Amino acid sequence: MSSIALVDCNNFYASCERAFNPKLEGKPLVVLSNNDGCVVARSNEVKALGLPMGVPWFQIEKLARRHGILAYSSNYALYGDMSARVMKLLGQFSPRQEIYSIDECFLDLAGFELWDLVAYGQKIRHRIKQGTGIPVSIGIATTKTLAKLANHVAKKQENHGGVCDFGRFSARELDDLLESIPVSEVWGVGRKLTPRLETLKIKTVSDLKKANPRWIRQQFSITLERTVAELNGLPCIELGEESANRQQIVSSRSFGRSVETLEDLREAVSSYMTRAAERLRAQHSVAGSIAVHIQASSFKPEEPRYHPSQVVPLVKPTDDTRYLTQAALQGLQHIYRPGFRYRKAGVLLMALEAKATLHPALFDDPEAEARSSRLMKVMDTINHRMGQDTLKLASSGTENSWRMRRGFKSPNYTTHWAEIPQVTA
Amino acid sequence: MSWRNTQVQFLSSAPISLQSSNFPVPLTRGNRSSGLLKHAPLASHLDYRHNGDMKEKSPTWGGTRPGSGRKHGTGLYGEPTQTIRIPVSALSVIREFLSSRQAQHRLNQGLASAEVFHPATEPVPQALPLYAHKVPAGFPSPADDYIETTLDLNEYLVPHKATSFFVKVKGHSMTGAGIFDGDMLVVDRALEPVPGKIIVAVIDGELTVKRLAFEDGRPVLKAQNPHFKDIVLRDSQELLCWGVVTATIRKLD
Repeated sequence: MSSIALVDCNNFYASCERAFNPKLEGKPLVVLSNNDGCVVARSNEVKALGLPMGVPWFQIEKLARRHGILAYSSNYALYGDMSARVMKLLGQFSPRQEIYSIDECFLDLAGFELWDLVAYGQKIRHRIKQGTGIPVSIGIATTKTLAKLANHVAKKQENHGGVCDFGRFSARELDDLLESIPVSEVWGVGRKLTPRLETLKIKTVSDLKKANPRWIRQQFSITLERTVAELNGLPCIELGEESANRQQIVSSRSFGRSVETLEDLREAVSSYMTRAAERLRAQHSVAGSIAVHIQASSFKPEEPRYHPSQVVPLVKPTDDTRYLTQAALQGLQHIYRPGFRYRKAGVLLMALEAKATLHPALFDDPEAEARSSRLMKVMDTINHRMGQDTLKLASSGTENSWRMRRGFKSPNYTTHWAEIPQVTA
Repeated sequence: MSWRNTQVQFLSSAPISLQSSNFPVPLTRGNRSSGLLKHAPLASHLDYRHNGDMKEKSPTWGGTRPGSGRKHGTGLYGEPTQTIRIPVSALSVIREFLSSRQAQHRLNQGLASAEVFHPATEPVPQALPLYAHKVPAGFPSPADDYIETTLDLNEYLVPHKATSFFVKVKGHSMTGAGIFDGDMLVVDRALEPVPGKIIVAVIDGELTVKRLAFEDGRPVLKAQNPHFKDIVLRDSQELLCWGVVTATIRKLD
């Protein structure tokens, strides 16, 4: 018998904004994507107004203002810090935790069944809400796929008080419940599979649960066959332990305006590589290969499209911003074509390995490497203490007119001394 | 037999380089899938040449003629061969073995006869350090055994990192409690607000720092400065506690 809980933060980005600004409580609130593009998070009040996820802000700005909807630019420094706090607290409630995304995690509750799991769930909710101000919902079931559905129920049906344990349901009750949930809500089904499933008369979760697994595998994939097994209470998807270190690091952003010159692109690529390299060093890894990509116009149909990318293998794996940037700029040089209006650029670090276990090559220069490590350490320390980009490569430029718009960003309440919240005495 | 020709061509046209690790791979693959192995046994291939030679000579003389045919050691295997009987079940194994052995042989020959090494036209200068590491000499510090970890203010001021937040004070109502305008407070949100504690409360959507008390069973937020009024909650008003203040930090400039 296994028990797995899925803990999911409610409207996470919106809740983070509210945690430090109690005035926002009860007000309709949206968070916009990078560059103030689309709506990426909505408070319950906004959901009740029927505003869909992902709509471009410029389309709804007037309407939103009329309804008194408040808009915030995404403040990932704040969300990242709050997520780390929530996850750390959640980790205290189970010996095994899988952090699934910025606002969701699985907890292994196997062996906890002798306790009242719903009460335990309420205790978790209370602790997270009190300790961080973030409301969470909890779904408990025997498999990850069912726990996801239980979480969905906990969120949608208020009578559960934010915690739904499928173990409390009789087989009959559970069947009735699953019959009322559309198949698109199942973990891993998604928008692509739903229409195909529906043409095969699989419309509800219950339909999928009762489908013949072998037939599902023939029609779809072994992955969906596993989903069917999971819906029937047979655990197929292991609880993945948290892998602290990433296998790839991406730093990619849209520009505040379209960019045409190589000079501007070089500045952007340099600064993205600076961010990526900082993250690379923070996890004590080195990269063996990098890729750079640029993207010209995707929204406006009349403009020509161009979306090239270039991989640049490195002679020796490194974490030095200077060498990584050099490689990225070489790659950029290779793919840049004049005459396009570029909207986005990004870099990718690949072939990551731990710096500590890196094998030295025959012709390495240990003195130069020690110097590079020291320099990077000084850069990181100063930038951490005095703010991002206090020390940076000249190639990342000083004006940065291409930087993205974040007109409505809240302060970095938890990560910048100058921006911590104020209390009245 | 075309397979031989293609193989030989492949050998000579292949870019021979020390870095090209895929070089031997296509050779063995080609051998395995070649029609020869599937359809014609290796021996008959040899026979074909022999028979061809002999048809041009007089067919009436039997037996071998000294000095005729290919010279020993120049055949498929580069050495003298002998006929043996092989159980049918072992045929494929033996063929596999021979073909891989043969591939190896060809490879060796090909490599040996090719000009492989091209010196770099412009050698890259490579400075090599004489000593890579410094060796510490002298006595180790006698204090090494007594070194303990250093004191960490975070550990002292912020025992619960996940639930503690820093806030800045604006105003003078708490001077009696040692909290001054501009101070930084450590606020632990996980602690229970009990009477007597200094808390950060939410009043009209603002964060406010006051001391929590109960008077006539009703929560009161007490200012710690005679010039300021206490905040008494109305009946309908719910006290919203944001966190409990655990430390105040003030730098003296």
